[in-house]
Amino acid sequence: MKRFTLGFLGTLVLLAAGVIGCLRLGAVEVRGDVAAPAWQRHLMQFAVHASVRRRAPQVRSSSPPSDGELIAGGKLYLDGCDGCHGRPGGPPRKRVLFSPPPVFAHAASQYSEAERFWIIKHGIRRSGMSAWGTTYTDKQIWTLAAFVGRMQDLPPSVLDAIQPKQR
Amino acid sequence: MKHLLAGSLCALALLAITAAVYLDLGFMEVAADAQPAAWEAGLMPAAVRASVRRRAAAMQNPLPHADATLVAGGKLYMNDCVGCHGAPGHPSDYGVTFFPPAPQFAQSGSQYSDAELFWVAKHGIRMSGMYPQSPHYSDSDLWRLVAFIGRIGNLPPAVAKAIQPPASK
Repeated sequence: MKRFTLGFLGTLVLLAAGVIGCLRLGAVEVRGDVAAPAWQRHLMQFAVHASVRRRAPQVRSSSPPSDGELIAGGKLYLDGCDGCHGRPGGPPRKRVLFSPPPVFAHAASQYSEAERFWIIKHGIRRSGMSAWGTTYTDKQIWTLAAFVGRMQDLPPSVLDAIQPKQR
Repeated sequence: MKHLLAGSLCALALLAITAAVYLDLGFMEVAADAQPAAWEAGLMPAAVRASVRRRAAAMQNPLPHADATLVAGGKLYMNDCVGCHGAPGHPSDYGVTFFPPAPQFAQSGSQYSDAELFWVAKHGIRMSGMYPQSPHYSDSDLWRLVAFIGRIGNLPPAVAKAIQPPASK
């Protein structure tokens, strides 16, 4: 039993020392232009998704967004989000980010509306996604979350209404 | 010996299971606006610093120490970096909404040498909002930026004047 305990604790101590040693010696890859191994990407995406699911409010908007709400969200979107996440129907700006930001015009968000609301408000740690809760009101963030959810099939009138904002 | 090995394997298995459950149940903090735990704040920035120090080649800025270099770098900076890293006298409210927050150079300078700054700008920092700049800037432009950032808290008045008004975004 004494040997077992020694092996158990010894392994934990060694591992902790190894991890801290690697960090202190600068052995961790930090370059943003080198792709991370696939297992790391998948594991982290999975863990982030699980964490957002756990933390995001469970509420759902009761009704589909009105065109007015979509337009309000679309205008905000074209003002602050399109640089990384792309325009409706267009390609994203050519920015290489270590965790590539989702381009909503090409791939629908994997999150629910409430989860998108939570992400926009609080941001995502260790990614290029900043927290917008100090910039926008909750109501504005809800319109953004709704707009992103409809980006692949926007009513033409909404597309029209937000276009003149284009720089 | 057998018991020692069994204890070791048990520790490894327990760790793996704990990590899997922790991640799977969503216990990992992902909100960028939450304060990091003390151990994290102590360990992670130091790890990034150590990695940059280890990897960045020791180089001297090849450009002349001249106001023209600073002005050229300052113009690039005011056009593209200022949004997150702040302007002289004007820290960026946007930059601090990232996790990790973007360093505010005009206020606190940089913890890196010129060669390290060059390396960071060129390659970016993984798991941060700092994306690699090499597709957008030549090496000479990056060195101009580095020269400017190194002096941003202490600019010659002529340079400070020449880079105003900022092309605000």
